[in-house]
Order: sequence, then structure tokens, then C-alpha cells
Amino acid sequence: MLCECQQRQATIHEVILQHGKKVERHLCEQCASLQGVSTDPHMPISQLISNYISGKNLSIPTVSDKDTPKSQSPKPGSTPPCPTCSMTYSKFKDTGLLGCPSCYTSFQKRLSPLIARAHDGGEQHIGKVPRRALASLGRADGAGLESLIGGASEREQRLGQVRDKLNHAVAHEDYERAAMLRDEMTRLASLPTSTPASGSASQIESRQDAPSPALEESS
Amino acid sequence: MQANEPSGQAQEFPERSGQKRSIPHINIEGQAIKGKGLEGKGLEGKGNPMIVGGPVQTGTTEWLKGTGEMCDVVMSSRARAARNLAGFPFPPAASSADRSQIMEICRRCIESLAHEEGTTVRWFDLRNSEPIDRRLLVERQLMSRQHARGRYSNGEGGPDSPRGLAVLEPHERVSILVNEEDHLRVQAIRAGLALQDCLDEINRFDDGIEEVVEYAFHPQFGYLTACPTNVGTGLRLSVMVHLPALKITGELEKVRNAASDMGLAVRGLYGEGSQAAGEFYQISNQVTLGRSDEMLLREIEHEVVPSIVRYEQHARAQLITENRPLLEDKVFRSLGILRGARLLKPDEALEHLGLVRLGVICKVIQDVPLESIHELLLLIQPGHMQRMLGKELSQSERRIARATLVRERLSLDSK
Repeated sequence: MLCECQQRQATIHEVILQHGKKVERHLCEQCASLQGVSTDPHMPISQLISNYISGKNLSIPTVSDKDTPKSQSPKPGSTPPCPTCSMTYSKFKDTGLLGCPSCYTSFQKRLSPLIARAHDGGEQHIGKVPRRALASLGRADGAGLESLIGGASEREQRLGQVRDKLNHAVAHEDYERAAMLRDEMTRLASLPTSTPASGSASQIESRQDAPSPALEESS
Repeated sequence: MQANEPSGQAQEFPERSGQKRSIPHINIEGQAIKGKGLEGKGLEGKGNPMIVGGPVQTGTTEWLKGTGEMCDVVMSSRARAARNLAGFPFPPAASSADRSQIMEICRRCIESLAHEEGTTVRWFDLRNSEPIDRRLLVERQLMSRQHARGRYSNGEGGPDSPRGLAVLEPHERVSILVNEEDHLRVQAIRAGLALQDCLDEINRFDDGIEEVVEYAFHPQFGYLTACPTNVGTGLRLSVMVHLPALKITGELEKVRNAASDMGLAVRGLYGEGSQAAGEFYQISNQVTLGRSDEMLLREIEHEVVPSIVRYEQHARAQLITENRPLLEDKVFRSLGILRGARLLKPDEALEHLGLVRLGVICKVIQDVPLESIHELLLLIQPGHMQRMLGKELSQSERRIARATLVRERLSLDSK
């Protein structure tokens, strides 16, 4: 089979799902590299597939496009400025910089889809939490903390998403990715709910109680 | 080396009441009270005093040590956490007075931090620093170019904008940027592939800082940053790799594509926007939200980088066994140019140093120590050359000086 350039044999055969339709492309190595199609022979095929499936190759629209939330695109100027620092949304659009921490709350609706797009679909912080935030949220109301580390319903939803991805990975024999997703599911399932009594929360707590050796040395 | 300046004298916060606040409703008192928590901890005025100002080191630095895991391919690892104080505008949107105040809080906070015995924190107030010092700090990868300029991407700020840098000496493994795009950017560097160590180090400092100040944090978005591309963990993990063999075998693009498919950025040696001369690349994550520190670390340190290292090692082995004349031709030509040139541009020097490094590691070049090459990677930069020669040099003078320096360090009778 000839490449799209009609000059060389096509050696790279790419099949992607674009807006739910199967699109096949047959390219020679030169054209493929020009068009940014990865042709790495060292790369395990399962990894290539997983990259496309997870939509990491942002230059090519993939099936995961429909997962990313579409911007609600309210009329320009409809978002009031941040009450804390009077930053406007349009100024943010110009510079890419927000004015103060409160801007995240002030513009939350419009920022959320934007942020998710910039972070490969990531919408919820996972990982380290400042001890103070954990403590104050825990004190103020259990629900705050719950949303922080994922309330029951939210976690269920996230677990569902991961489960879907896992099934996908298994179906495509990408066991490396599947293992990673399985770990993530285990971790999600073991997160504490409303009391900071286990997992990451308790780690942070214990750190506060016992002064670290380094601190003692210096004093 | 240790200057005994009484730096910890002015311990009080600047007068707050008289300051005009450009931003309403922001409660700065909250932060001030946290600052007072210091006394209770018995940290005030104790520990190793912070040294203010003074000379920037010019000797070799952590990222050029040439040691560590996979050091034939991996030059260094770096982790950076972006953090902001609650209740203050982000630096690009803050007034100069706000920035001064933020800087003072951060400086005092850093001063209170515990650090390893035998290390010293040196504080650079970048408003009053010499341009050459700022340049050296950038060249040593202790801070960004943007921080040296002091101008934010929204056009605010300038050379006199209140901002600072703390460097943990003598190893220069940790640096903390104050009032860059975010209030605090804590960076840790290690030679070789050692992201876990970098992350542990950052967490130690991060926890220490948090003892004193309150961070801006959002239940959904995580650690809040001026630019939403950094929210979440605020963590950037990056690894500098040297991939000359993949360049020669023509497989480099595949690696680059594979890395960007994985959502990783590939940049040149001297950071954002710089050319990848010498085939030195920095590979770093772009996503910071929705993936935990551990997930990011695992992906980069245990999956992506080791596989890139294997490709490069494979390409090197292939060159040695199957195409030795090509390899020898490339590396000895470069060595010849470096030993003979009378004028050298930075990119040209870097390109040939990269190939000579390949030759030394593949044991094709026997009479050049690896340390000389690593040292030159630092010294051929304009700031270091000017500091070494003790005067400012024009571009053409620098080319002459660079060629002379390289010739001296690589000459046959220098050993």
C-alpha cells in the first residue's frame, strides 16, 4: 500500500476513532514523523494504544474528547469581576494569570472546564493537602473535608471513571496501564471519609505532633 | 566562605498599619499572626543564621556533578512546588507594597526553616543585586530568567520589583524563589535520576513553611497558583537527559513524540524557550491537577525516563558495535573543533561539548575527564565567563574568551 504522499510504501498504519468514526491512515515513516505520528519501534504497542486512548496525544482528536466538558461559553462580560481583587475574567483571558486565590472561587464556573482541558481532564485535586486546610475544613464542617478528599458519592463517581478506563486498558491488553489504574482504584477506595483518621490525613497529623529531628538539631 | 553578617537583626515585620492597601477585604493580619507562631516554637533567632547577599558561588554545582542513578544519560533531576499565601494577591497582580510585604513574610519564614547541619541559607534580595549576580543564579539553574528580570508575563514588575531568592549552600540543592509568578517556588535539584529525593526534600521545606504561613488552597483545585496550569499539586518534576546517540541514529524525534504523547514537555538545557543544543533535554510533567505527587513521580521516574534512558543506551551500544567509524568521526571532529577554535558561540560550544561527552562516556575519547566537560557546561555561559575574568565582555569578546577557556580545559597538556 502506498503512503498518502503516493511516493513510498506505507509502513505506519494508524487507526483512530475520530468523533466516533473510525479513521484509517497509512503513512510512510517520513510523512508520519512530519505529521507527528509516533513511530517509535521501541515503544510497546500497548503503550502507543494507551496513549491514544487516554487522549494524551492532544494534536489528534480522540474518543476521549467527548469526556472533556465543553465550555459553557457564557456571553462575554457576563462574569462579574472578582470581589476580592477586582480582576476581570477577560483580563485573565488576556494574560493567563489570575489575581488572587479568591479568583478561583469567583470564576469557578468558567475556570473549571478550562482547567480540566489544561490538565488532561483532571478536575479534582488528588495528593498532598496543607495540614491547616485539612484541620480547618474538618473543624468547620465535615462536608468540607468530605469534598476535599472525595465524598462518598463523588468518590463513587471517580471510581466509576477509573473502572471504565481500567476495562478499556484490559480490553486493549495494556496491562501496564491497567495495573496503574488498579492501584489508583485501591487508593481511592481506601481514602478516609469525613474524619481525618487514616491515610494521608493521619500522616499529616502525626507530622505535626512529633517535631522532626531536623528541627531539633537546629534549635 | 562564611560571611558573619548579622542578618537576623531586623526581625520585626514592617509597619503594616500605615500601608495603603490596594486590595480591599484581604486580611493580612491572619498571616501576621501565623508568623508570630515562631516564638512559640522556639525557632526565632536560633538555628543557623541566614546570610544575606554576598558572592554567588561559581564552582561546580549539584546538577553537573555527573553522579547518581543512570548518570550516563540523566544529568539531573529537579522538583519544584508552587505555593501561595492565603489572603494575598498573586505577585503579578499585587502592588509593589504588597510584594514587599509578601517578601518580608516569606524571608522571615525561610529564615526560621530548619536545614541540614553544615549548610547555610543565603538570601539574595534581587532588587539590590547586581545584574551579573542574577545572571549567575540563572545559569546555575537556581532561579528562572523571569525571576532575574522581575517582569511578570502580564507586563507588571521590573528589575526593582520586590523579590528574592534563598539558596541552600554549599551544595545548591535547594532554592526558594520568592515573588516569582507565585509567592513561593521551592526547588530541589539532584544529580542523576533522583526525583524521589527531590520530592522528599521539597516536602520537608514545604511542611516547614506551612508551620508559619497559611497556604492558599481550594478543595477542588488544590494548591492555588497565579496561572491555572500549575494548580493542584503545584508540582513540576523534571529530568535533564542527554540524548546524543538518538540524535545520530535519527530516532530522537520518536522519543520526543512519545514523551509529548505522554503529556510531558520537552525543553532545552537552559529551560523554557531555550534551544536543545548539545542534545540536552529537560523532560517534565505538564499536568498538575488530578494526579497525585506519587502518580506523577511513578510515571516519570519509573516509566518514562528509564525507557528513554534504555533507548539512548541502546543507540549508543549500536553505534559502538555497528557504526564505530561514524561515532568516532562525530566525537573527534567535535573535540578537534573545541581544541582548535578561536571563536565560539554558546550553542556551538554546547553542541560539541555534548558530542565530546558522548565520546568520553562511550570510551572512544580517552584523554578528557568527564568533569572537565561538565564544568565547561557551566563556565561557557556569559555570566560565569564574565565573573571568572572579572569584567564585562561584549559578545565578540565572549566568543574569544569562551574559545580560550575551552581550549585550555581540553588541551592535551593540561593534565
